[in-house]
Amino acid sequence: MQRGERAKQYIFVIKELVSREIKRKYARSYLGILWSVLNPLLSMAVMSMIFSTIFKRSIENFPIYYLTGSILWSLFTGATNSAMTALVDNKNLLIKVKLPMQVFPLSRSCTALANYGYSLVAYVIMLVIFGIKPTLYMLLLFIYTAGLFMFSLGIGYMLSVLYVLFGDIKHLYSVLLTIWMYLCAIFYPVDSTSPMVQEVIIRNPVYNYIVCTRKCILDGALPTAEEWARLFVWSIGIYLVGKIYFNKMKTRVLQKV
Amino acid sequence: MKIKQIKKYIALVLFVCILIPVKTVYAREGSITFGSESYRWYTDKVCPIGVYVNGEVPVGEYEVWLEYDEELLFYLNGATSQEGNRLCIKGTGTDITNKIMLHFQPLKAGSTSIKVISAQCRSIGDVTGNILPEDLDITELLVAPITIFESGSSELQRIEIDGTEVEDFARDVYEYSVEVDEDIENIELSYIPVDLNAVVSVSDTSLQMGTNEVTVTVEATTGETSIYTLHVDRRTLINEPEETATPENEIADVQQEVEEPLPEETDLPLEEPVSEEGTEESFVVKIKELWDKALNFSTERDFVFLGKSPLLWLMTFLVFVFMIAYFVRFLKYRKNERAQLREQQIEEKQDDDFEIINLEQEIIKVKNVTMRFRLALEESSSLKEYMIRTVKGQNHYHYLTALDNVSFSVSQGDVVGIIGTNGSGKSTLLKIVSGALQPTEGHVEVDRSKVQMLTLGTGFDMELTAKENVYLNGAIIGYTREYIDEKYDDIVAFAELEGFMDERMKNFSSGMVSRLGFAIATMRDTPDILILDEVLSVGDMFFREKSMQRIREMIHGGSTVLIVSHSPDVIVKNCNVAVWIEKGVLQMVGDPKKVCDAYKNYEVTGKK
Repeated sequence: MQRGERAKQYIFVIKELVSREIKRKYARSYLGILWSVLNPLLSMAVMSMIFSTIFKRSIENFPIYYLTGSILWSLFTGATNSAMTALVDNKNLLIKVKLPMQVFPLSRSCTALANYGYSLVAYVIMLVIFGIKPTLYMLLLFIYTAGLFMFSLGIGYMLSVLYVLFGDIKHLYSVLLTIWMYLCAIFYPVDSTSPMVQEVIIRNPVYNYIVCTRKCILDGALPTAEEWARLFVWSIGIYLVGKIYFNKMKTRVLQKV
Repeated sequence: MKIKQIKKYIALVLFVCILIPVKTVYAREGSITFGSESYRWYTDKVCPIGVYVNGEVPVGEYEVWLEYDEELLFYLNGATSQEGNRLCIKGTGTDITNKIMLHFQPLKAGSTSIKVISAQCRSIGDVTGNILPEDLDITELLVAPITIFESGSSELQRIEIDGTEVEDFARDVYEYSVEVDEDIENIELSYIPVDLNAVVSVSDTSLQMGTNEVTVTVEATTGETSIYTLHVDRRTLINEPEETATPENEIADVQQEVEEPLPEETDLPLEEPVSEEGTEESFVVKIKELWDKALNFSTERDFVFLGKSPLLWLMTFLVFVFMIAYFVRFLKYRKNERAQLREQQIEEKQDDDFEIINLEQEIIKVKNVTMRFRLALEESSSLKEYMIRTVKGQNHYHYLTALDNVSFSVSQGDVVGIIGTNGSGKSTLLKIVSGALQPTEGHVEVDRSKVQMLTLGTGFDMELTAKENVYLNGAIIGYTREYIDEKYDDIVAFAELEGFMDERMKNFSSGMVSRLGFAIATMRDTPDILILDEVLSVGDMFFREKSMQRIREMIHGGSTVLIVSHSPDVIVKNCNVAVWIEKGVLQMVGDPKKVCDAYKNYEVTGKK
């Protein structure tokens, strides 16, 4: 009974925090929330213009190929980047309010998830325009998204603590993200790289989510056993590691903040 | 504690698992095959048979065991060793296919086979040692059927009627009687002669009701002939039970049952169990087939079958175990919580009884609380610096003691004022009481669920409208949506902000902001223990009066209150106990007037 009420209260808090983030993000723009839909579409248009001629032969449906990778990638970067600063930004709330500390990184990650939801609208529109036939496999997208979300959340937890302890993490992480993005094969085919790099790309957990999604959307196929295993192990593993680390560092964070 | 540790280790193992590059090792396949699918041998010749050891990759060592029929075949040479009717071929190959020739002498006419009964082979390793020899996977053990003929003979080895062999057939018995079903108008005869070159002719095989005679004439190359006569009795079905009584294929039995469901009614009761058994069996067979199919299906598609990599299996297993452990913990947690709830209820009842006797119960006990903050002497806020310091061993800290061995207790209904100069640890003390901070030493006895800290405008976002902020701030300090919906008008009225609620907060004056914050914070039902941290200096004079009134209402609503203030006047006016903390050390507890006088004196003298 008590637990249920408390959970409901936290959900309400997270909802309010998420809606604050979203409103805040588009507070001074005319189109407002529409940007969440437009942004991926515009970047897709640009990327398609630049790259589709280059990879014409190796990638069948470049716009969708790119869009699939890019919305998942922006979910990941959005969630981790904003979760990283969550604790520092909400310093005064942390001490004064009796909320569990997880709420802050969690609400930031949820914001990214909500944004992802809006870009999904754009994505579906594009799928219809490009005449991709709907299959039941497409429902797997939700599993992949959940997996990626858990993965991002775990990393977000760790980063948020690290950011309290060392401010430099922010800059380091942005560099890391750049490398990471190039290793996700968002806008180029994996085959075009050297075998060594291919090995690395295939081991890349974020790429794993992307390739699974591409398979279910573009080919209407299931991932291989290895991909399944990687998907679950990374999601659950990183989530737990992040959570355990976060719980362990709670008191230190409170002292430092 | 133990569970936690185990959890940690499992998490570690999992993580390490992730880091280890997953290299799936697919077992390569090998096979043992024969030169041809079946053999026809003559008794007057030495017969060779080729055994091939194949692999996807060149085969190194191999060991194959074969079995043959000693009655019909005599082993001559080719194998490594012989044990009774078993032959062993052992060796080391170099190629993808490796051929071994075996030689046999057939003894007499008949059908037999040479079977592979076990086989093992390893791939050849790389000379440099980069590729280690691995076991090849052999999935199928083949059988080579062999038919042996004798040249010059005019006899038959075998006669089959509609695919079933004639019972008790022998080469030198020339007459047989056979019974067949009423339905069969024509039988199909097949035969194997002892000499393949013999000419065989068969008489008319169409059947009349009753007894028919079918003859098979065999003429050998030597001109010798022999005639086999079959007395085929085409009968009505009454005889059938007799027929089934003789040992026969049960599947055939079932087929007959299925074809002829009618006779059951007229038949003897004896037959019933037989037929039942039959159908049951066929049902089982069907299920088995389906099952096999399903299994095959799942093994073909590797999304269900995880492949042969043990690492994958290990990881999946670990994840699985983890999920179960979590689930169990969750169940336990719920159980505990329920138990706690029950205890609480019981305690509450007891408390109710108790209160009548003793109103002056101590509800907050601060016991020997010491709070130390660890501060790096030279704050290393960057990772690089931190690393360098750690390596050099220069991570010196100094400890700031914010509270030093403070203990006091608060009774139910007390209004306690905490006073002290800036930085003397008042706010730290409140944070410890409210549970936001853990003390370094000592502990605080208090029911945390009853403690409410009154905070103003925490989490206001200036970009949002006032209305949105009411919900946001309310949510953060613990109101439910329904509660805010209900109290919204009251909040607006108290803050005197009617007509401004859809404005962005950044356009508000600071007084308006703090009024709204105060209105939201004090709208709650009076909690049991209320903590006020410098909230009594908000807004203009009129609003201050109003807020004072509000606070007084809350105070006199029976709750226990902790107030922090710099101003001794506020404390003297409102409190019945005062606590004076100076530089983390408890100076005085007691009557507010006395404590405040002492504090004022200290301030005057201390500044001198």
